[in-house]
Amino acid sequence: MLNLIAKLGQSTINIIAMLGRSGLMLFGALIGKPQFSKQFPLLVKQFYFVGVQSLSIIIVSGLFIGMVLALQGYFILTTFGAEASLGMLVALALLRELGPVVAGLLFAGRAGSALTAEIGLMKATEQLSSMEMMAIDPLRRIIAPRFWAGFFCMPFLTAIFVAVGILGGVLVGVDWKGIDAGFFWSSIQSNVDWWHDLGNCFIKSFAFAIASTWIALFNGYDCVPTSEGISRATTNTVVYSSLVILGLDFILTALMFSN
Amino acid sequence: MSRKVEITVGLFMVLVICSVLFLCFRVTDPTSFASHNSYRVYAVFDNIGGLKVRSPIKIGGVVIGRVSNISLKSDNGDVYKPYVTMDLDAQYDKIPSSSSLSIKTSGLLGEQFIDINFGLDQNIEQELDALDADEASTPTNNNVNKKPVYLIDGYVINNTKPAMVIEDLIGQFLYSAGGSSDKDKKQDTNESKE
Amino acid sequence: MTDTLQQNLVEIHDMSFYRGTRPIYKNMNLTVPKGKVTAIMGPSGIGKTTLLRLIGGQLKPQAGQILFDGEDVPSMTRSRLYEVRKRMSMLFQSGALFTDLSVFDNVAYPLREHLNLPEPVLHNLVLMKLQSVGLRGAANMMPSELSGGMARRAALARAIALDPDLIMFDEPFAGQDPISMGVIVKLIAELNQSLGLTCIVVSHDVNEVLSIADYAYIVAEQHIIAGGTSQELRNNDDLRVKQFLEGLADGPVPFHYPAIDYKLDLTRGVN
Repeated sequence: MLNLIAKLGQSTINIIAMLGRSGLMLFGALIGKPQFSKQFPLLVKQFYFVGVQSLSIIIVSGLFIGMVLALQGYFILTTFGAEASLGMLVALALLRELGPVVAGLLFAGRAGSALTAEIGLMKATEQLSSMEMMAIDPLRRIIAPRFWAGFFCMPFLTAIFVAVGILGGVLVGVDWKGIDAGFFWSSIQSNVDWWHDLGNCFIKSFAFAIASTWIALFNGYDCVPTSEGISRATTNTVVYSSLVILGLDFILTALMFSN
Repeated sequence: MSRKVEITVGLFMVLVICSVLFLCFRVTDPTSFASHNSYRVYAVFDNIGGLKVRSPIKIGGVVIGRVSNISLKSDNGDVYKPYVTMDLDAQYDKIPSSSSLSIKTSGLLGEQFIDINFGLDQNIEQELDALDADEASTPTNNNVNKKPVYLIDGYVINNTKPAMVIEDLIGQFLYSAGGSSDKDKKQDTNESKE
Repeated sequence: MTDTLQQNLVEIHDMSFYRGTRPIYKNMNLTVPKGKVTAIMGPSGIGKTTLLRLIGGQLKPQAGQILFDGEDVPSMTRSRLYEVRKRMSMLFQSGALFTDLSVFDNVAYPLREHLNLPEPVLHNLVLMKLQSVGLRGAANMMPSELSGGMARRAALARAIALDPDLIMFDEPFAGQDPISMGVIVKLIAELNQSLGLTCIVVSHDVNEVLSIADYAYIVAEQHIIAGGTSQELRNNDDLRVKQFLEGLADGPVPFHYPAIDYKLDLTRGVN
């Protein structure tokens, strides 16, 4: 029994220490005067790895989620004769929940795990150490551009995801099921609000971006530099990011839409 | 390699911008953002029913604003009454201050909204005044002049009709069918609701 | 005092370092003279790489001083440490080339970071460094295309890119075939003689190291157990030194990992 309590305390301390290390990592990466001329090319490169390479999965899943949402919505709404509201259903579902959350989960699985593996590998092959010995701060050169790339790319990808999803809804609702395009779009336009829906969609997305990029980078930076450690860190990234995204989503939704 | 990266990232950004523009101008109503200027009017109701923040305010079915806040307020130590804050589009600034508000339901089970019914506008009022000019007394004229002609920022509308609550209507129907002793009960339930 | 500062690039005084509660070094003393090749030898897992990281300021000792050119490394501010690190470089065991950059860009990396050289100058400088390790022809290859020995030479070219005062070699001979081992031995000797670089070589490849080292230390049991020129070490009577240099299976470092009595352990299986 005493052992159990001791273990519990130990793991609590470990978790707090881990939080501290991750905070210090982010602090070290983001503090300091920016050097745009040197950092911008790095950022572009990371946009490529983080953003462009996640594009295909985002577009394909966005399209299918939009289509299936429209199809299911259509089946239900026709029973009330309310197909005209299908556009609103698809658009609001995507903007308020599915867009940020699914794009976030996909991002964590695609880009987050890749970031963790990359940084873990850099650590295992002593690239980070050698950078330090070259008097170059790896936090600023490796972590910072990846963080900013994740921070911006996730909302970007979310925007693409939602746009493609709505187009997928149009494909099913208007082109296949024959709902009048005017009804479809007007039900979207009259019910989607600039700030309340679109703005909150991006706020959520930025919050998820910070959380999942941070988790991915920290897991890589803090991993045990062996092949086993890297694989565990990669798994942890996906699991933790997904859980944090879902938890954060609930909190943010409660804050945003409770009124 | 580097060139390829730059170009693909550039294309990615173009795609992002297209999506954002699509979301801003096709998915949301661009005019709702462009004419964001609004003025704020207040109204006191007896019962707001299912009215919510962001419920629409309509004139003849056209949305001209939204409810921005709902609270209870008591004037001069009166009982608490629902106090609704409304943001009306600034382009509709010629709404007579004598208009009355009523809370209506779109469809049988749809959402509730505030409907503005025009009161007499000032020209007509003046005509009416002219008609019975003999009886017109100066104090009433003064009163009319004190009130703004049209709704303006900060104006409180007291000329309101409460929401029709379906349960009450059904209840009323049932009670009127029943004995008179039920009417007291109905009174009680109404009071307890408030 | 000034004389010793001139002579020794690195001095370690009474340094103790613990990893958790496990002592790695206890009251260790060591000096690395300027312009010489100093070897640090010892069995695996004794913390030789740790020593290099301590000198490089990546780890901080719990006690003692580590002087680099007269300045105490552990007590430096961060910015000063980064200044000092420009004067030292380290060749990691794995080479630690940046996998997403070509050999040329790898060598150019520290130059681009620290010096604002015009591109033609940079280009020539990088090619000169690559030429000195014999890899000018491989400038456009990616690290994944290089053999282990070539990767280490490319990393060496990167390590000398900023013309440091001190190079620390971490196991430069580990896992190399005899030819590339010979190449690296030759390169270290050349760098030391032609550029006057101070070298610290950490290794357990006794013969290769002793062939180039001006002075060698043997580390064991958390401190230096012997030091001297290669001849002095070979004549050392200490059993531990003898065992290490001659590669004897049994000696002061026992063949058997500490365990309970063999017979007792076997009889436990019977019961």
